[in-house]
Amino acid sequence: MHSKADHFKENSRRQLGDATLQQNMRRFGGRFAQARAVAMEELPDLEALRDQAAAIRDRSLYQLDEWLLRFEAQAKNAGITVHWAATGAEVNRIVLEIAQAADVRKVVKSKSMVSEETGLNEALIGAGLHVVETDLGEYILQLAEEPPSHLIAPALHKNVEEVADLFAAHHHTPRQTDIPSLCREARVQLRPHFLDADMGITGGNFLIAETGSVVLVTNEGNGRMVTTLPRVHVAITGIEKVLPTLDDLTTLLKLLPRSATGQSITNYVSLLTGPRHDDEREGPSQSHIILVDGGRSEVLGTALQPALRCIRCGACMNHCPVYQNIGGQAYGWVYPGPIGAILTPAYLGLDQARDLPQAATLCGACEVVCPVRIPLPALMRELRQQSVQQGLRPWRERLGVRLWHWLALHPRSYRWFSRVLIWGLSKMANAQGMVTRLPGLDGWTQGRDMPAPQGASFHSLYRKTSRKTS
Amino acid sequence: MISSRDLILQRIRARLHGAVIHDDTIDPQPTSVLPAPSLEVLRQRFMDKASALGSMVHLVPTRDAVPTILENLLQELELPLQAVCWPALAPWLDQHHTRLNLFFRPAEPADAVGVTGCHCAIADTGTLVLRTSALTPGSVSLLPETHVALVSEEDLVSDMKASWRHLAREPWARSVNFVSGPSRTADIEQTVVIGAHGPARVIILLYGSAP
Repeated sequence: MHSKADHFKENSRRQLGDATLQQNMRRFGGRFAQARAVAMEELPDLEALRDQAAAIRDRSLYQLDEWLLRFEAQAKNAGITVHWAATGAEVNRIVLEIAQAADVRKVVKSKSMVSEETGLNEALIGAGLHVVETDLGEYILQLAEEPPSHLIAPALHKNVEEVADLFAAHHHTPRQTDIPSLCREARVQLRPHFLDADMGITGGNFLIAETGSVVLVTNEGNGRMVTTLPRVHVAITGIEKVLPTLDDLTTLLKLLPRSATGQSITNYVSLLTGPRHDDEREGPSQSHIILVDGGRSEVLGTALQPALRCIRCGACMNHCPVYQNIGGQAYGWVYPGPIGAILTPAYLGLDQARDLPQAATLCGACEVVCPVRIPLPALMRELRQQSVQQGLRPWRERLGVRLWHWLALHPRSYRWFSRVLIWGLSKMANAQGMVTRLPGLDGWTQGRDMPAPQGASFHSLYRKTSRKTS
Repeated sequence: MISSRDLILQRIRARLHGAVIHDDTIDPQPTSVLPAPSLEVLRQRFMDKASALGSMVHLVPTRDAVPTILENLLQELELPLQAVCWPALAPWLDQHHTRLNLFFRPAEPADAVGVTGCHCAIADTGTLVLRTSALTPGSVSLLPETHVALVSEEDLVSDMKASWRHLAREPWARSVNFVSGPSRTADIEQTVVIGAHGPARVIILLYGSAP
């Protein structure tokens, strides 16, 4: 996917000005957060479980090469062809080669964020293949030609009227506006595609090293469809998704659905281990897995490594006040919200997403809910520090900080400057004592007024009082 | 030219070399010391959880009563008295004389009802554990709008961890599916709608071990 992450300010300004989007984001509100809170009450030992989950993910990451090799050996044993892709372009090339060798015409996809990273759909469509997204949210976005705005509810920013318009225009059916009918319509439209597709493409929520399995965690059943009906299955997932054992999976599955949608378990959890057996009459006859680096290995061993623990539940964005206002598409690439503010610069380079680590109030809600205890605010601060060190901040900001630095070291000038500033601000205040516009900082005053400073400064008060008392 | 596989492994090793290995004081899997719950507890918990997730659970006193109950149920729900079944169920269901028209094969698009057994069932989450094989094709629990699962009380386990031990008794299947209720989506305005791509109705006949 082509990144627009370096235009974060324009993106978010546009999203904030979009009345429909703002209304849709208000409706989204705290629904996921509420559901999560209720579901977590079922777990008496939540904090201990989060410790375990973080430890499991760290164990995978600190010996990532060994677990990947173990996974590869077991997967090969089960008849899976294992591919490794260093870049997104390589992922697309491998999928196209598999498709061409197997004479594939139609591809059905279940949700895969990694394929969004690589821009797989465009590559496949460009090569003349018919590609159909089958997750309802992804299907809506395919019709709308838009990128996803949330990890687990990709069309969260669309309302029912918008979906009704899209379906009526693309299905040439009477427009219906109740949600169950629209879901039914999608089922009816997509069923034939499942039945006559040649290839099914999925992501992978986890890889299990001890069995060589790909794990899919889904609700709609489309993940099962695309791995049961087409004759070729390709799973695409990041190298960091490997877990050593099935017991590790058990622990993480207690947290993933609860953190994501507030479900104690999703409707389907599927462990896929290879192609159909000789005596089976269904299931893919070819099974492939593509292990994708795409910038992940460069994050290992750095201060940002904890971000690789992420299990893509979306809780951080569901609790983020910034995300809830600007929506996922403002982040400009595949991963929105707090985790996106880390992963996008980590995978694409900080110079490609300079403003994302700034897109936070550092309120810390994301860290409090993260099931694998990623210290998101600390990682954002780390990236902020790196962007200063690499000289990536705008000149006005650098100049401002430099001036402040000099003033703070020169108390006499500091006092003189603050007197001038107080005088200036009180001159700018209106009758109610509020400053409504600050030149150069109008972004700040657009939505609120600043009270003008009143009375004397702390320094002068202190001097006055200490003279009196001495 | 170096392969991507070697390149990726090389990068990982270079990055992790000299990295401080995390203090492993937290045992990722503390062993549970709880005794296995009684059958009554398991049964009740399974029924509560499965019902909460939208499955319809019916208790059937004996295994022999299952075919008649199935027939009555399909009639009550105004479904055709016709179903696709796991071939593994043929020796059991075929010997009973009912008005049911049963086909023992993988599911086809026109099948309205699919009947399966289950490998084991998890009480903690109300989950059916299904393994695919020639005799237990996955499509039977996926394509039909109504999925009926025949579950023996003897196959109830407490949690997912216990189900791994159960599964390890047989060779690993191509696909192991944990099914917890009818398929659903909340992708439009976060409104939960039952019946997405998989079955819209899951009926569980939980039968006892009495002869």
